[in-house]
Amino acid sequence: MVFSSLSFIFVFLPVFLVLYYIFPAKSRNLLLFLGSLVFYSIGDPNCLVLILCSITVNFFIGRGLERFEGRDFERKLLLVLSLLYNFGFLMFFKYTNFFIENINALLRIVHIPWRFYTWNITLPLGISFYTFQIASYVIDVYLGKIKADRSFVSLGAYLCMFPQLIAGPIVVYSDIRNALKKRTISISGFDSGLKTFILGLSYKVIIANRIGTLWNEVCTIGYESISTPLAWLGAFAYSMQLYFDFCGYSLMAVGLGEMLGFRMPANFRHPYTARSVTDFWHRWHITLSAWFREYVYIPLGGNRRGKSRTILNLLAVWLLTGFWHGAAWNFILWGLFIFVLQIIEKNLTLKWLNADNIFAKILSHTYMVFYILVSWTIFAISDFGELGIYLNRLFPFLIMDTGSAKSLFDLSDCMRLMTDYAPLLIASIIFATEYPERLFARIRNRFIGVAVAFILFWWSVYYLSIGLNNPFLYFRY
Amino acid sequence: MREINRKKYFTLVILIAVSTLLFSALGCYWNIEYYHMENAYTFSTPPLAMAMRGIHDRLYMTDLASFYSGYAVDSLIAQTAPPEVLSLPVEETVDTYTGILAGLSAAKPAETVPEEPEAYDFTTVTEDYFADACFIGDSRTVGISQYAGIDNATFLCKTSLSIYDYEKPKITYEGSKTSIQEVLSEKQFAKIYLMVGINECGTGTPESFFALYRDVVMDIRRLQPQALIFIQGNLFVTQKKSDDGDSITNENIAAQPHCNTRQPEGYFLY
Repeated sequence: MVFSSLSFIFVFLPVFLVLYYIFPAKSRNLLLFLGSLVFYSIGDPNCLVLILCSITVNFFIGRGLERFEGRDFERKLLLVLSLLYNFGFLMFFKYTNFFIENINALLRIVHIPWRFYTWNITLPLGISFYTFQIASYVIDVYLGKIKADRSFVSLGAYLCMFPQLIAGPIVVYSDIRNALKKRTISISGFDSGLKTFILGLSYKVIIANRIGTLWNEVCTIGYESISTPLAWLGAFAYSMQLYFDFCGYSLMAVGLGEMLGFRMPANFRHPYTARSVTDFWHRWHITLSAWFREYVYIPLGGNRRGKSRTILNLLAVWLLTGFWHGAAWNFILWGLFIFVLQIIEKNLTLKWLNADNIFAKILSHTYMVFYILVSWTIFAISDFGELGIYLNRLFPFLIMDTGSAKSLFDLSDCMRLMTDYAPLLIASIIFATEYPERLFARIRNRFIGVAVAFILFWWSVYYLSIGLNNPFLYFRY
Repeated sequence: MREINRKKYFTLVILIAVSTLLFSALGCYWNIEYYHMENAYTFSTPPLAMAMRGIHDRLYMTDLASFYSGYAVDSLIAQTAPPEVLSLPVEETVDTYTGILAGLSAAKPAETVPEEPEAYDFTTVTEDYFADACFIGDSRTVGISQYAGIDNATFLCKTSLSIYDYEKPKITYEGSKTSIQEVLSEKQFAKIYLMVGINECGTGTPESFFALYRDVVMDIRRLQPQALIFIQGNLFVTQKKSDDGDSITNENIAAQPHCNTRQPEGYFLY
């Protein structure tokens, strides 16, 4: 089940909220835990056992880490067991076929006539997210930053709570530890959460889903046939779809959390207004970058062990970040691309990009436009042959023989789509900036804010009802 | 003071709750009046979804029209009965496809239905063959208009066009938004190529699709008595797409040609 569906908005959520508000405060964690399991099993009934086992194993390991206070060897052993268990399952479900395919490719290169079969594995819903969450919990208990949770239900509620179960934000235990013990719900919190939820829903349904059809059209036409302007337009459409899709979903999660009495961390801060790649990654999928910084970069030494070690640490972080996003080489290439740009920035260009004059602003935003469009193109296309064709369309001077049926600078296909999608294209640029949200923040508690939320709500429900394109791009993680 | 302040937080949720009930009632009413769908409501399609669909189909205009005009729209239909130019047996079943590709020089006018399938030879034509041709269709026809190199034909096409859009102002012709029916009533063509069907997969039943398709083709025949009408069947999709999708499946596409065979005038293109 996804948030942007009629069954969630009009059936699951009202029923759950009514029960949640009626039941006494003591039983809310249990209700949240059970309700989230129901939510999860509607999306993926087969993998319910897996997440329950994950909670159980990690719960006992957490308790064990506290029991063995002072006994280093046992504690280290428990930590290693927990990490092997958590990441072992993640690796198995997500990366087995990737390894098999690469082994086969290697065998092909050395002319050994042996191939392994790929397995028919479906990725359990949300495993990339909840694995990272529970791993952060165990590591924090080990390091003594937090006390282990004594209640299985409370830990279960933390891991499974439906606002963040399927697609984040990645909430670390210490963020909501107090709210798990005691939280207040109020009509003002509910109302605020509802408005945030509606904003996220509109981003996803009114902008993301609909601008996604432009990208679908470009894919349908075929990368060999599109002109260069259309290739750039397609990359723009995909970049906007990805942003509004994921940002919308994260906002919905924050809104839902607020309705339940939790303060979820923000996941996006207008990344497309960033002035450098470094800044971009402080604004895009903030909780993921924070996780990698906290549990990979800093333990490896961060920037405190000399320049070359810092570079190595950054490389490790970006390779892993790329790999987390998908079991394919283009994601690793994407991570490497970001790493290289960040190294150049940190050592050379950052001061120019961040300077306070108009030229620096124009330069930095132009640089970011190219970065965003090219990096999401690498992210979007897994097949290297296809990716090569698309990059060649974007930068036609790279290779002479293009083999395209259309003259590369023929604007007709691009103009047709631009006129069809003009309102959406303009809206996406406007809403990618901070101004609409600042305006909404000022009006949300007045009647005009209520009216805007009401209209956005029914507008989104309208699009959902007439069954237009409704994918969720970060879903299969 | 606090009470008043608290009350304002209830506004949005109460507005949404009340409007949900109203839309649900409207959806039930429209389902009974127009759609007549049995077992229409599931968790993913509650009654308000029917109301949204009705808004999309502009049923409120129909309601308004019947409220104001008093007399039914049927009397308008009675005044514009199709001329007696042709007397085609509507229920005749053609058992086999007669596959004829575009560009035949020896094409027969569409009034007579061939008794037996004839064998035709492939011929190529010059570019001006398409000067009086009209291509009607969805995104695939848009693709033809963009990339096939046929520049002098008339293209009445739009992405996501379906048979339900025949009378709706969905296409752009000579700069203005108009409907296919309007263009066909203003201009005569010698050949009309019709290719829809993919966007209707998942809507209605094969029988309802066939009935509407037949009505549209009959209307095209009425408006264009001298034209050759080419009805193009839908090719199947790849197995992967069929497995992926929930409505564009090979089963749904296969259900259509079965109905297409019952067309009264029969030139079928693959």
